[in-house]
Amino acid sequence: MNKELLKNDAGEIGPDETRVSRLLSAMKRVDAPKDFDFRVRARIATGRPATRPAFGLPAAIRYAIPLVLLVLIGAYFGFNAFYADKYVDVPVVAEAPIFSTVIEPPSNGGIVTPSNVPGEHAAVKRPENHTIGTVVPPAKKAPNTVLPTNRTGGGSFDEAGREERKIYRGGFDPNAKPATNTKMPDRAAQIPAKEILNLFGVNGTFGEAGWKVDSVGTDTVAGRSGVKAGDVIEAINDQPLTEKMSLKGGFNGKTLRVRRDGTTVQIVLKY
Amino acid sequence: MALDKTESEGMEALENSMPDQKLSDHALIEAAKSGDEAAFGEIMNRYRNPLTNYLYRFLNDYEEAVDLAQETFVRVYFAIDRYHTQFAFSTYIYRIATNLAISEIRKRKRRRLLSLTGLFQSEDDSSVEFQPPDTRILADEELVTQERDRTIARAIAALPEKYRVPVILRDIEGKTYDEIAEIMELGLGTTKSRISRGRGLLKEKLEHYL
Repeated sequence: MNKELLKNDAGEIGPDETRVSRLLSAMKRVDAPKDFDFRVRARIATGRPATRPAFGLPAAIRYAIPLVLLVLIGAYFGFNAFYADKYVDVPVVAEAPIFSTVIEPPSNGGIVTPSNVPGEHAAVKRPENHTIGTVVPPAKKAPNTVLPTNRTGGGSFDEAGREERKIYRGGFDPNAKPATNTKMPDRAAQIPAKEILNLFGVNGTFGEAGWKVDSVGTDTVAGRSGVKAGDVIEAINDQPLTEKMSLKGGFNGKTLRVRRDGTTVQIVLKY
Repeated sequence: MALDKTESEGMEALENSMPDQKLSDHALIEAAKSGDEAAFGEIMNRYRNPLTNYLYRFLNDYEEAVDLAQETFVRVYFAIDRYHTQFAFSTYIYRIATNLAISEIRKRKRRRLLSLTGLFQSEDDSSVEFQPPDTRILADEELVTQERDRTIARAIAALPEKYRVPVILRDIEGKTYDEIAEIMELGLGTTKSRISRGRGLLKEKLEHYL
């Protein structure tokens, strides 16, 4: 084969090339190790070529994911370090005082401006370090470190770590006092008198003497309490009832004053 | 594995390592496609030694050469359904091995770029030929031969890839120009000129032995 090889090249290559070629072909050959087949079959048995990309994502995404995470973590801590104490979340229950302690801004270094105290200009003691004409920097407002402790629920985990703050599921404290008057939540609204009478089961029209009852529902408050058609309702809870008058939503009807056949009857409403 | 390394002399060994081909490669491939494991074994039997030798001369690293030769067969096995018989199988398998070896060399370069120690390592030192310890007392001639082979191997390994592949295929593996052109996917003229240029570069380095 060696001769054949050289014969192939004969006439095409020079003597130097022939010598190099002969030198190379005289090199010892190496064979595959004895366990070659076994190893190939073992690799095949694992079901895949051995070398393949270790991680399928493109390089850009591989670097972007940790970068974004780093930026987010940095932003979180940065925010907490510089801005978190300027944040006060608004409590849910409006009646509770937002701040248990109101922090007065510190007085401005004892300086009293002449306009504030007109007659005592000469008596004002100047701070020792300030001469006339220097601009006294406004005292920095101290950060509001006293957070209300009587609020229920809500808040961040960061806040929960502080004293006397607890986090409740959904932000509601199960032991908290219920908000006042849940029956009529909209206390400001006013309800016309006719509608209130309708709520009691009275269908009436306003006449000269007052609200005249046209009909009373049988299974209603008014019906149970003994209001009859033809009665004239003068007052509710001793409060005279006029046409235009309206009552506040928080009101509880307790008694009715009714004129019946020329006499005045006081009816206690039965719920 | 390295201790299994066996050597034989020159081209005679190449002939010995190719068993008489009763069945053609294509027939074996067809059999392997239909699930004949023995046929695939026969393919391996035919090509494992030439491929190992080729990759060894290409990379100048026996362990790596064996690893890539095995990898070549694994790839052939998994891609056997996609193999078309318009190419000679020997061309096909050598092309796979060459591509694997080239990407391996690039990987090595990248590794050297990244490693601190690698920065100060020269190309020649990085590919030291692995030789199992031989306790026999060597005859002078054998010692000289071994030394010569080592020098040639280093010279080949130092060649640029585009010359290294065709020179090894031609002078060590004994492929024809046509086969080499097909393996390298080049024109016949380019192949010949690269071989010639490669030999020229080797001649400068191996002047002492010529």
